[in-house]
Amino acid sequence: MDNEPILKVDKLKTSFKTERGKVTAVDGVSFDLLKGEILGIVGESGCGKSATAQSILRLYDEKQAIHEGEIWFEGKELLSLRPPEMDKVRGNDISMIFQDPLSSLNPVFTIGNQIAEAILIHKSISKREAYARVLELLRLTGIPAPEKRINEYPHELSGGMRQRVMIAMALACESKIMIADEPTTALDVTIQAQIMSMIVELNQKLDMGVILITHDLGVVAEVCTRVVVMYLGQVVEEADVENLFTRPLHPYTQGLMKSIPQLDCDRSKPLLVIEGTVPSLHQIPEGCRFATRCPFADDLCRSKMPPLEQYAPGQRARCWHAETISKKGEAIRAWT
Amino acid sequence: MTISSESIDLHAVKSALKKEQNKILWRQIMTNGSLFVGFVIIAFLILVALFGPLLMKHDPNTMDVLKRFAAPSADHWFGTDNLGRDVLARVIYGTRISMGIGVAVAIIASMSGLIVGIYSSYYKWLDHLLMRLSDGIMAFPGLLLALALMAALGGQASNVVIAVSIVATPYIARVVRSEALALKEQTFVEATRALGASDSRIIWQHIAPNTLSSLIVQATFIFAEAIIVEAALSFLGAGIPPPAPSWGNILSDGKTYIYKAWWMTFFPGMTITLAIIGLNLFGDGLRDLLDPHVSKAKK
Amino acid sequence: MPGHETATHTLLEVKGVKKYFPVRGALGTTVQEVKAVNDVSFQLKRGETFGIVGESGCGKSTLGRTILRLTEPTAGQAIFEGTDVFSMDPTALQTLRQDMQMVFQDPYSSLNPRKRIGAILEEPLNIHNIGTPRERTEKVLKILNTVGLQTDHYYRYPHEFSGGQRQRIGIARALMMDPKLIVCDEPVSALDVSIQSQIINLLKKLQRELRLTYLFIAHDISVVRYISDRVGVMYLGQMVEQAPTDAMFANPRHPYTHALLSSVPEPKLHAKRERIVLRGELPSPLNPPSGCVFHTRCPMAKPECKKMVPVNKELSAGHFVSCHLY
Repeated sequence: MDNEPILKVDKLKTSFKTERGKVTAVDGVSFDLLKGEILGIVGESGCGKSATAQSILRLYDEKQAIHEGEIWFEGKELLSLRPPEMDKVRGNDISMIFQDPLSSLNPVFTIGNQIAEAILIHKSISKREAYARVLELLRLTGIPAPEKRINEYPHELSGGMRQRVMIAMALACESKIMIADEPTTALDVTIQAQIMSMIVELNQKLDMGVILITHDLGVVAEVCTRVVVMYLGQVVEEADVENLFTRPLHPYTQGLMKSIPQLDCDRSKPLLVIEGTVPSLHQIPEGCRFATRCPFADDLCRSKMPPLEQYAPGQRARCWHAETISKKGEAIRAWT
Repeated sequence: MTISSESIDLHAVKSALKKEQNKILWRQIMTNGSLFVGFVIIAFLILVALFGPLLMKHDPNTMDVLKRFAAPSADHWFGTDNLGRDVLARVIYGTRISMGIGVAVAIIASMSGLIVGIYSSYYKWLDHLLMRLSDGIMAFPGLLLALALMAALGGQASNVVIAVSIVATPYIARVVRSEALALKEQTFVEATRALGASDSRIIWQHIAPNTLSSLIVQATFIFAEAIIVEAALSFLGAGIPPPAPSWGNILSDGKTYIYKAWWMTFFPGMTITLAIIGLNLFGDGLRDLLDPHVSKAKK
Repeated sequence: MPGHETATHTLLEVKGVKKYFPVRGALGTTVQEVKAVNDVSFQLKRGETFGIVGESGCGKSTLGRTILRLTEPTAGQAIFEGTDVFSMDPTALQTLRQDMQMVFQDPYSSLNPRKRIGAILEEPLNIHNIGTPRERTEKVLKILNTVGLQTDHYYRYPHEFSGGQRQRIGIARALMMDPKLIVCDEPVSALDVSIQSQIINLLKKLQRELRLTYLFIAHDISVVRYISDRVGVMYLGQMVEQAPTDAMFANPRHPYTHALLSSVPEPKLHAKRERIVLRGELPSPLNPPSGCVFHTRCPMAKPECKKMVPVNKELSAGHFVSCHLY
């Protein structure tokens, strides 16, 4: 597998003008997507993961949103492309699927129509060729009886089916990168399993890079090759999935993992709690943004923002004490 | 944890919090342009309605036959009309009448609209009955219906209020009903039922207060409409009986003499326009003020 | 230990509960019925937590609401401390509400945005005329404290709180009348992962301290496993399996339970289990399959599964399954 990044996000910053002042949802986020990998971006609400995805495709109204930094894709810097050029990239080279398939699909058009539209926007082929491709895509995404489904409307399909249609639309132009923003959050767990395994299959079969945005660490463990953990607009840890789960460096990552009840955890022990709540984006604390809730925080943490440093091969963390915390295995006990 | 210290703490907390919440509210009001300008205009008109007559030099009904059709001057700021009456005095007394009717209609239509709207949303059989009735009323152009009602009731200020309120109620009922229908599905309503609350408690303590923001905004627009309808009714001779100087009557008097004495229509016309602009601005501003407050409740 | 003395006393016995929603045709007649809850039975002992899991459309939320009579049942009984909730008259039911409360899923719409927290929490006491005004205020303050909130929150509005705090307020409201049973309907699903553990711990703590009994309805299987003493699995309106938690997870018997448990993504490496993929789609509750409701997707289906409804059998202590395999 090549080690060439096909997407390079460099110090991306996205701010919004609100009536309560300027809010920076994505604050200096950098990461690479390597060829053929599935990169997970994990975090809770307000961490900026969805905002990052939407910024890559420049989906925000640029009168309200201000972007800084650079995003490199195939030698082009996406943030500086003119709108018509960006339109050619969106849906074509880089596609996106969203959380709620019902509201992402137009209720008055058949799914065949909508998938064909995704093709015809970017490729000048005949309608018949487009519809043939639609059938092919429906088969690829495991939709049974595609000849029948092609004329059905979104409301006639189940949630899982609709998400497959979304994926079919995303694949319509043989995108090199697919961004999946919480694709299975609204789905039942048995359907989630099917969709996730399909995404993995497509990643391998089509050699398509995937950026998977989720809050579910279980999904990350099963599917991703590398992971970026975000908190309050910043990247706090970045690692291979192996290292992330065996040796998480950042206290937030550790806390998250320990606070989730697992299928084999001891039911008599109380769950680990990360005290406090995520600060509002309008009132970002001084120093390390996680210090208000971190059991290891000291004065240094509260006054100076730690940089994202490499503490192990392929693993970076934004923490002054990452090394000491991970070296002392017992320090993890400070959490309980 | 003794009882008395808790209560003492609570009062201090309450006043501190109320101060904080009022400060935020004040800031929201002060930064709202439409609200401020609208309020100033309406306040001005209300003051005129209340105190204007006391400051008037001239009586609105005194006829000075020698001074008929006098153009605006130092003595008669708005000129005189066909019977030598001072137009300014008439307009100012008219403010009292027209604004008074507007307020009365707004209040009555709001109350009846609220009741109709809320109960329609809660009880399905009532909904069918009341909404068909409302549809019937709304099928008539407002002015024509008001005219017909006035013909049936007779020309008096109180009947004008009744007639216009009947015409206006369905509009408020609709707004309240649609808000209430949405509110009824909210989890907090179900939660309150789970506590054992009766229907009327849920209706009046939970649903109705949440419809108030839309209701008040609608009421200001009804206020404006009432002024226009009253003016139209009086203009057509079916409203307040002359010689009462309602704005509509003044306009009516002036319609024949537009070229000869433009001031007889111009000044009442401008006043009506001013009132409507003020009310609409106020209503818009109020809507902006009240909506974000409610939407903060959502994520 | 306080909980154990009353552990064997049955607080709630649910027998054959059905809830069907009519689908009206053009003339207002009932054309079809959505069989949301279709003959569910189980028992809930004082002081325990009974978890109910299932995917969308299985009827678990409807079951919770029906038991509390927030929606009128179609058939069956819910016997709470010896009296059938479903056949109570309105006055008796009103009094009973003090003993059975609910915590709702959505923290953002479960509180009246125009009421202050103090007013919201005092309301149950007002409705049932409990205590003097002063006593009510004190009780509110005490319960605020119990759920981890502060005195000055009494005068604030819901929009000033985060999701996790609002959920605490929702729990506080359920506690105001010292209920015996609390139905928790997806109480942590709408919360961030790092807040969920706070609320789950709170619920567990309250159960110990106040001797509460929970009916815990959720779709997150790991959470249900963690908090429940017994678990019931629902599919298309029926409870296909119920057992003590450890037994259920160590040895799931029903094929659906098996498939469900195998689909849960686990946040750890190399947790690759044999994933059982169900064929087909979830049937519509308007027209549930004949015989065993699961037969259309079951990897172990036999011819008899289509024809006969399986009998609910007790395979081992407290472990019940409805399946022709047994």
